[in-house]
Amino acid sequence: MTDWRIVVGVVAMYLVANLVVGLRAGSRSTDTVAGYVAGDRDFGTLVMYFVTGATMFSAFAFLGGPGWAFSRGAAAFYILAYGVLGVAPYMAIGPWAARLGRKHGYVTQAGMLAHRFQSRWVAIVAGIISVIAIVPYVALQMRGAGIVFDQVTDGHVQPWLGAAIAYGVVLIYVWRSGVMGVGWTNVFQGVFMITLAWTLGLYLPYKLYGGIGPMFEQLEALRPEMLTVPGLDAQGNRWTPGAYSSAILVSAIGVWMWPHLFMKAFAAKNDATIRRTVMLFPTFQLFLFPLFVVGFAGILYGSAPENPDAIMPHIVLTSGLPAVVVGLFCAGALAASMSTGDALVHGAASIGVEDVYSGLRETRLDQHARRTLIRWAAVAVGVLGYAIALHTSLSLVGMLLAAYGAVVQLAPAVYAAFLWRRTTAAGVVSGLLTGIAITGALIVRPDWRPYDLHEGLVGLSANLLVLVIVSLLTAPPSKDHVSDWYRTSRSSGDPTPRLAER
Amino acid sequence: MKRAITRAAIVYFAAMTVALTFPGIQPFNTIRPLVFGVPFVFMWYIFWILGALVVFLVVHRVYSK
Repeated sequence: MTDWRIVVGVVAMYLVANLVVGLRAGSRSTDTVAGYVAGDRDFGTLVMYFVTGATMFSAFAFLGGPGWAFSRGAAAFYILAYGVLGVAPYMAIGPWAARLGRKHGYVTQAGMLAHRFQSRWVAIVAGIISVIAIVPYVALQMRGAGIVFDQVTDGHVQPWLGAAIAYGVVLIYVWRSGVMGVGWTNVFQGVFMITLAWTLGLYLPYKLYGGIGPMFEQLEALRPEMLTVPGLDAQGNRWTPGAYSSAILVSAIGVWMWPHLFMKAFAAKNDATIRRTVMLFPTFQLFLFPLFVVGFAGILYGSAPENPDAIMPHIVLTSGLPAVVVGLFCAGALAASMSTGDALVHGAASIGVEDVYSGLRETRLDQHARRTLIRWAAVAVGVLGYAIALHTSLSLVGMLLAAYGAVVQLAPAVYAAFLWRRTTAAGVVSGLLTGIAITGALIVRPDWRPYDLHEGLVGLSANLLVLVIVSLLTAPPSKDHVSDWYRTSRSSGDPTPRLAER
Repeated sequence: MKRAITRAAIVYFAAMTVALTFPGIQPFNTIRPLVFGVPFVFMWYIFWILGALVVFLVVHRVYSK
C-alpha cells in the first residue's frame, strides 16, 4: 500500500505553491471592483485559455468523467460532445459583450442584462438563478476534493477534512486577490491537470493491458454495450437516446451561460484575446480523451471502488505506482476541483453583491464597501457549498447535470439581448421564472418529463415561448437605447474607449 | 469574406450537433473499425473536435485581418 504520508507531503507542497501564486497575483490589480471582479479588463490569451479550460473542466471531468466511462460506458461521450458546441457562439458573443463591458463598465452577466433591458429586476432574478445554479456546483467541486483526499490517504484524511483544507486555500487567495488570483492559479492548475491526465491516460492502459488497442479489444469481447452510445443509465440499463441527446444539448446551450465563465469576457484584454481563447479551446477539451481511457481501463480492472467517481484514484493507488506519483495525481485532481471552485466562489459572490444585493438596495455602495462585501460573500458561498457537499449522495456528473437545468434558463435572455431588439424586461423576467419553475418541478417529478428529455431543456422551451409572447404583449424598449447598445456591440475597432468604472 | 466564413462555421457546428446526437450519430455508432486501437464512435467525437479547431482557426484569421 502507498505510504499516505508521502502523498500528503506532495499535496501539501502543491497547495503551498497554489497559495503563493494566488497571493502574488493580487498585486497585479487595482483596488477597485473592476480590479477585483474583472482583473482591470487586462487578461491576456495565456490566462484566458487556462481560465476557460480549467474552469470548464473540473472535478466532474477529472473524476466524474472516468467514473461515468467506468460505470456507464459511452454515456460519458456526452461530455466530449458539448464543450466545443457550447463554446462556438462565444466567438461572436464574447467580443460583443467585452465591447459593451468596456464602454458601460459591466463586470457581471446579470449586470449587462439589467442595463440592456433597463430593469434592476432582470439583474435580481438572473442573479438569484445564477447563485442557485452555482452553489451546488461549488459543492460538487468540494466533494471531488474530499473524495481524492479520502482515497489516496486510505481514509486517514476524511472527505470533510480534505475538502476543508483545499477550499481553505481557495478562500484565502480569492479573498486577497479576486479574479487575478483565480486567473493565475488556473494557469498553474491547468498545466498540472493536463499533464497528469495525458500521462496517466497513456501509461495506465499500457501498464495494465499492454496498450490502448489491446484494452479496447478485450472490452469489446467482454462488455461491447459499454463502447457505443448512449451507454448505460445509473441503474445499469441502456440509457435512452432522448436523455443522451438532450444532455448534450442542454449542456452545450448552458455551458457559456455559467456566469463565472461568461463574465470572463469582461476580463479579457481585447476582442482578439477572446477569439484566440475560443480557437484554442478544443486543444484543452481533448484532455478528456485520456481521462475516459482510464475509466474504460477500470471496467477490466480486478477490483472496483464503492463509488464509481473514485475509479481513477482507485487504479492509481492499487496499480503499484510510486507514492510521489500518487501524490502528483492527487494534486492534479485537486487542481481540477480548485480551478473551477475558485471561479465559482468568486463569481457567485460578485453576482450576489453586484446584482442581487445592489439591485435590492437601489442605491449603490462605494467601491471599497462593495469589494469588502464580495469578499465576505465568497466566504458565505464557500461555507454553504461545504455544507451541501457533506450532505449529498448524488454522483459528480449527476449534480452537474441538475445545476445545468438552472443555468441554461439564462440562455434565452442572453441571446435575445444580442439578437432580438423587441425583447422586453417583462418578457425576460417572466421567461426566467417560468423556466426555473418548470425545471424545478421536473427535478422533483422526473416521471413527468416527455421522452426522457432533460428537465432543463423542457424548462428552456417554455422559458423561450413565454419570453417571446410577453415581449410582444408589452411596450417595446427605447429604440435609442437599444440601437446604441447594438451599435457598441457590433462596432469594429478594438478597443472601445473605456468609460469610468461604475 | 467574413460573412461567408461565418456562414460556413455555422453550417459546420449545425452539422456537428446533428452528427453527435441521435438519430444523426446512429450510422457512426460502431466499435469497428478501431482507429489507432480506439472504438470508431469514440474517435468520431474526437474528429469533430479537431475539425472545430480548424474552423475556429480560419474564423479567427479572417476576423483578425
